[in-house]
Amino acid sequence: MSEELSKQMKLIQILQDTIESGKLEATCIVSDIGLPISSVITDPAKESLLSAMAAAILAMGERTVEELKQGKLSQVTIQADDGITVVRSAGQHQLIIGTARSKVGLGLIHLALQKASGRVAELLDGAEFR
Amino acid sequence: MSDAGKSGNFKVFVAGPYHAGKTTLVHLLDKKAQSVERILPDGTTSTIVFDLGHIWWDEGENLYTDDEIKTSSCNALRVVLMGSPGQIHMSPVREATSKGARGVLFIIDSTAPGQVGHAIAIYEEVKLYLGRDVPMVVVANKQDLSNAMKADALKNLMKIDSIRFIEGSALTGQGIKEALLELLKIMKAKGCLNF
Repeated sequence: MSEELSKQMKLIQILQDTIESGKLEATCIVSDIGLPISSVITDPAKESLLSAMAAAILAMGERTVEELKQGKLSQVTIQADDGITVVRSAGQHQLIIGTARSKVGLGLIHLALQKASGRVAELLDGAEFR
Repeated sequence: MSDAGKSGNFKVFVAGPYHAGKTTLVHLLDKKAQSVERILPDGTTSTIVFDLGHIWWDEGENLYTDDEIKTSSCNALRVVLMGSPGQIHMSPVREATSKGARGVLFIIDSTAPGQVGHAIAIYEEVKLYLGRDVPMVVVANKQDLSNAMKADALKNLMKIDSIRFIEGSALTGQGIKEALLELLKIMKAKGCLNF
């Protein structure tokens, strides 16, 4: 099995673990310029849209805390009537996004994505995904 | 600065394909412009969300910076310049940042005829977001480079007859204020500046 294929399988495993532990509907690993790397999502047509928006959301969040001198960004949380979306950095050049129904506890989602981002960073840092 | 004494403000969307010079153009017109971008492995940068700047227009032949307008007694409109990401896959971000724009400054790289396909795709996308009749001027950018194609040749290549193409360089400033003024006058003539 090629190294790339092995990495992709490990990423899928991380995403599936995250879906399960965070009670998420969808999760996606994205390059910091908005290209999808790997995802577990029920509607594949939304993968590109979610990836581009996630990169933009994280970039906006990072710029906001930089301008306000609030240190390093942990994550961006978007809460709507029927759902929650969380975006956080997952290493040098990639990020992870997770979405869930609003009845899921925010703490659970944050914890699952925090753990996943560490695993993704460990696996991908140094790798080229642009 | 306060907008007191000024007569309104509106947004111009700066669009075009990747590395066409949109960020350079916005920063040329407003030295204090802000960009949300990423550094690429080759050391260049790519706009991920927007370039945001503004300039003042007296509804005639003059554009003013913040510093210049402070000492001027003329009434002027504040033109917000919203640059957008040029990578094809960033279309959701372009849609979000284009909202409310009343005109489009469309930038193409005159040295990259191979980008014409991307340029046409983004051109059509922008018209979808802002309406078929949105006022638009195309800047045939990078005319400071020896291999730059002329505006007429690019116009033929893109098969767009109804829009004015202006040769310019966002690096040297050649043609850029002329292009923006041309767009602003079209917007005014079309009644897009009625508040």
